[in-house]
Amino acid sequence: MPRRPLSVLHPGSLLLAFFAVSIYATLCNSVLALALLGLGLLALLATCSPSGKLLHVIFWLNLLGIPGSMVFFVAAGWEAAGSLPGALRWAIVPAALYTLRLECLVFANLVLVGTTTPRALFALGPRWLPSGFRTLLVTAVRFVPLTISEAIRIHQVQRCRGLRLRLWSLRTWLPVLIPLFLAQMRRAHETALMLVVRRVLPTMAPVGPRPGFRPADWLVVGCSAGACLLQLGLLITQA
Amino acid sequence: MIAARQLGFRTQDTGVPLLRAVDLEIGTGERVALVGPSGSGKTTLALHLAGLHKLALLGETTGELLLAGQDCTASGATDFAGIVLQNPENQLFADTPEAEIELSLAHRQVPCPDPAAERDRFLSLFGLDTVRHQPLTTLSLGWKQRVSVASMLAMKPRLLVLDEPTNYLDARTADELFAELRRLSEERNLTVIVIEHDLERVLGWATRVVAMAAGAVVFDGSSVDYAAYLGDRWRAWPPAPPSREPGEALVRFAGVGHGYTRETHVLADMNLTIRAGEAVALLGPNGAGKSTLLHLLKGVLKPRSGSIEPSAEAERLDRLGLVCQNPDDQIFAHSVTEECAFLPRNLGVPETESLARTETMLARVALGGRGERFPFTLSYGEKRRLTLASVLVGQPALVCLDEPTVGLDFACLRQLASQITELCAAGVAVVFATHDRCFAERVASRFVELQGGRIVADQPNPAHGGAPCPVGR
Repeated sequence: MPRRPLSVLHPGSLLLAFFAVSIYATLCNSVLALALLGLGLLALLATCSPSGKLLHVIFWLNLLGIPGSMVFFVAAGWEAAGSLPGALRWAIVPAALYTLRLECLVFANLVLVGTTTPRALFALGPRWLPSGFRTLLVTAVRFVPLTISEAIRIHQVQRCRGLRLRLWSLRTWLPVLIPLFLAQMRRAHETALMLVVRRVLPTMAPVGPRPGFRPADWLVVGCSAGACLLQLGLLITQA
Repeated sequence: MIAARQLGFRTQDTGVPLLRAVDLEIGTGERVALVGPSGSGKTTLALHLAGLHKLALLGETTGELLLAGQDCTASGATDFAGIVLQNPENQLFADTPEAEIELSLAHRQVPCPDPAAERDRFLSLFGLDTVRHQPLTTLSLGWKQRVSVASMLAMKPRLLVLDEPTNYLDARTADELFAELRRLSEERNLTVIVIEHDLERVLGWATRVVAMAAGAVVFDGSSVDYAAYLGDRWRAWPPAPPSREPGEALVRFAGVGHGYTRETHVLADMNLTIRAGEAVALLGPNGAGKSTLLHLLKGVLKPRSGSIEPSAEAERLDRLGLVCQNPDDQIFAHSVTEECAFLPRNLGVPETESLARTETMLARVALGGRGERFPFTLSYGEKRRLTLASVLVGQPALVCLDEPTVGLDFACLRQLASQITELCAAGVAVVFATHDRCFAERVASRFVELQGGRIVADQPNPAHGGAPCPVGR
């Protein structure tokens, strides 16, 4: 099987990079920097999604989020400015900032899911991550692709029954969202049961060969820590 | 090992009793088949016997439950048994079959002296060698079921409970699984409880049969006694349909190929014609491409090579119906009638006609008078019938059924066989993918066998006019 970019890195350094990107995206106040970060993450995402289906789904889901954020900010701006043009002027920059922030966090999550395998997380010892947290991550890493493939399958089934999804009509989404929600509830219940039955909880033992920490990992950890510190420094200086 | 005395269970939300005064003692090394119709309380009883009722069920357990001498009625016991649930997707945590078995070996109670050798043994036992490094997300449900059974067996539990483990397995793998369970039970004194609808297979394997109905144990004895208790009831299929000449061609595949990634080929060079009034059984092992073929037929997937006639996917989407494997993927409405009327409404059928068609169709699948019920509260068999009705209501010329026999008890199965026969008599073509050869022999007019994405046999049903079906549920 071809190795995906970033999967050569130590899972620990990938996790650190993920946390650093999340912190940076949360603290950064520059639209340009966030846009560049988002584009970079999107490029990485494109390399970790072999079928392209994942990207397709993410794009559509995110498109739903953007008008939602804009409406929220325009409504808040209306209250502040008292008119629609004023509200739009007031809303445009913060709306772009928060939308980009959210996009970056979503993309960072998906890059982590696309580049980290449960097996890599199994191999991490308790020195890197407490076992409860590792179990949580393993479940999360599996949960996202399973949910997406389930959503695609349910959509196919409902398409066979004549469903045509319309972005602006929540009603047309219900035949997909309701079975998907119920399936997730069932999955959460059965997964929790199986975690206990298979004795993965309460302590997940390290499984498989321990991954090595190489120069590339030091570079990733260094850059992540540097970017976070720089951003924190900027914030403190501004304050 | 296990003793249940006057065991009862009542759900917390509805207060419905799911178990009623069950008295049962199971010794070490016994092979128990838990049988009965859908909704009779088999899974609830099995979860109690495995000590997992406190984790898995919400409700009140009454009576007494002793597991390995300890009273577990109120507390349960999480480290007593291993369990394999019906849906394999919810019990796997790793990304490949190999990693999944390694995870089990690392967490088993008795440490494994040579994990690599033990892992390889389990992989080869379940025929997983060829897919050991393949991502689990790309494997079919049948393969995933094999992985989940193998990983649970690798944990060496004292008691193993399997809830309909052969649902997604082909006949050969199912036979191998039961042979392995017998070996483990005989060599290691492992107690095994299997919930199963396939009586022929399970009666040949079990040392004891516990039959349930409406939450109570109605039979407890040997396989031979149970077969005598049932008499001919479990082999009483409806009469085989008379052989008919197939009608006009509805769909034609010419050199069709398909794969989910660029590197893999699920189907290759497929040539097939489906005619009106035919009942075509798609047979073949797990991963042979049966479900993919159905999705191509319906127009949900596009062929990578070759052509399908009629070529307009929209036309196939309207004229062809597909009933998926899992009814829970489909049901969303707040009433049975609304669920069933979804397709005709989407096809632009006037409201009065939609409702009239819905009413007729619900009556045909024995759901008449339940139109106002909340569909999520139906039993599994009823849900399967509802999904069939909600596709047939669109009056399709061709109906595709993906594993229609999974999870159905014999009564539901017999009903399904009659419905398929009726459809074919009305000129509708039915194509169904199944591992249940007996069902196929009873219903199909034509057998199409797939292997490795290719058709290896396409012939009239060999059982028609020949000897009666040798196996039955």
